[in-house]
Amino acid sequence: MTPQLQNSVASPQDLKEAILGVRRYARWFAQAALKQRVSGGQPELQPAITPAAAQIINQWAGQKPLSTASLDELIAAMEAFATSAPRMVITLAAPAPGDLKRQLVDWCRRNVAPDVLVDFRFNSSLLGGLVVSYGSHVYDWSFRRQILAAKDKFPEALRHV
Amino acid sequence: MAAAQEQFQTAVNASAGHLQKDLDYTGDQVNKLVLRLATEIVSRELERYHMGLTRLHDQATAEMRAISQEISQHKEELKAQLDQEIKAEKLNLIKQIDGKLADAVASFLLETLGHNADLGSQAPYLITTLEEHKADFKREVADDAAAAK
Repeated sequence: MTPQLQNSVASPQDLKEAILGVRRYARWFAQAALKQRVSGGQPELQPAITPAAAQIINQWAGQKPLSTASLDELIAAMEAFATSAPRMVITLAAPAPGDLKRQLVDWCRRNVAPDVLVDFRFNSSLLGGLVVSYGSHVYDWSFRRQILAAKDKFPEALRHV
Repeated sequence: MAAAQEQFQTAVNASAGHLQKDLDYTGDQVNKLVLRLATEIVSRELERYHMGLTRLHDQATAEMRAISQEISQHKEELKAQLDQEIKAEKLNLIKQIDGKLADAVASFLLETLGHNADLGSQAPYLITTLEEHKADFKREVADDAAAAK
């Protein structure tokens, strides 16, 4: 079973970070459970984890009760997912703001694959538009490409000026 | 005897006179004949010569006409070929100029637009572009799924 990803976990790096968070939480959980079982004392404060990791743990807890074994199962599921998930690379003309990233990830998960991981890159020479790499294809819808593709029409247009 | 001698002399003289007259006449006739024959021969030769000259002239004129026609035709061909080459060269030059102009305009646009990307305003365009090519992605997903099986 794979937890459903929020749009904040967009790229393989985000997923890796979320796995680290869940791992940190699982370690704390195991220590806290052991401490309670042995001494009955109060556990240490929960470690700080990212909202994405917290959301995944909460979602997992909704499906099955939290235990060291179930958290290990979650980590294994997430690691397996990290290696098998479909990946897509979107290159933009500038670093993508968070809001735009969320919009694009949301679109990809709604229309391409619900578990797709989207990696964002930037290349200022694109000028605008986007280049999408998915599977064995590269779809170039950048302004640069469009300008270069239409350059033969410039002289004709200039003749009519 | 003297009379016979005289008679003989007279007869000889008369015969000599006749002979002289005949000889003069014959010479005259021979001269006339020779003159007529010579005139005829020269005239015939002149006529043949004239005919030969006319034939040669006609032949030369025909050949000159053919040569002139051939030269005109060749001239026309050369002119057409030259026109075609000039036209091709003109088109080639226009193409080269257009190519350079296109490169210049494209470079200008790429250079001037290079550092002013506003992704915020591009968001609707980006989503629309993805929407337009949704089918491509779906096909890719389907191909991947089929390959995985």
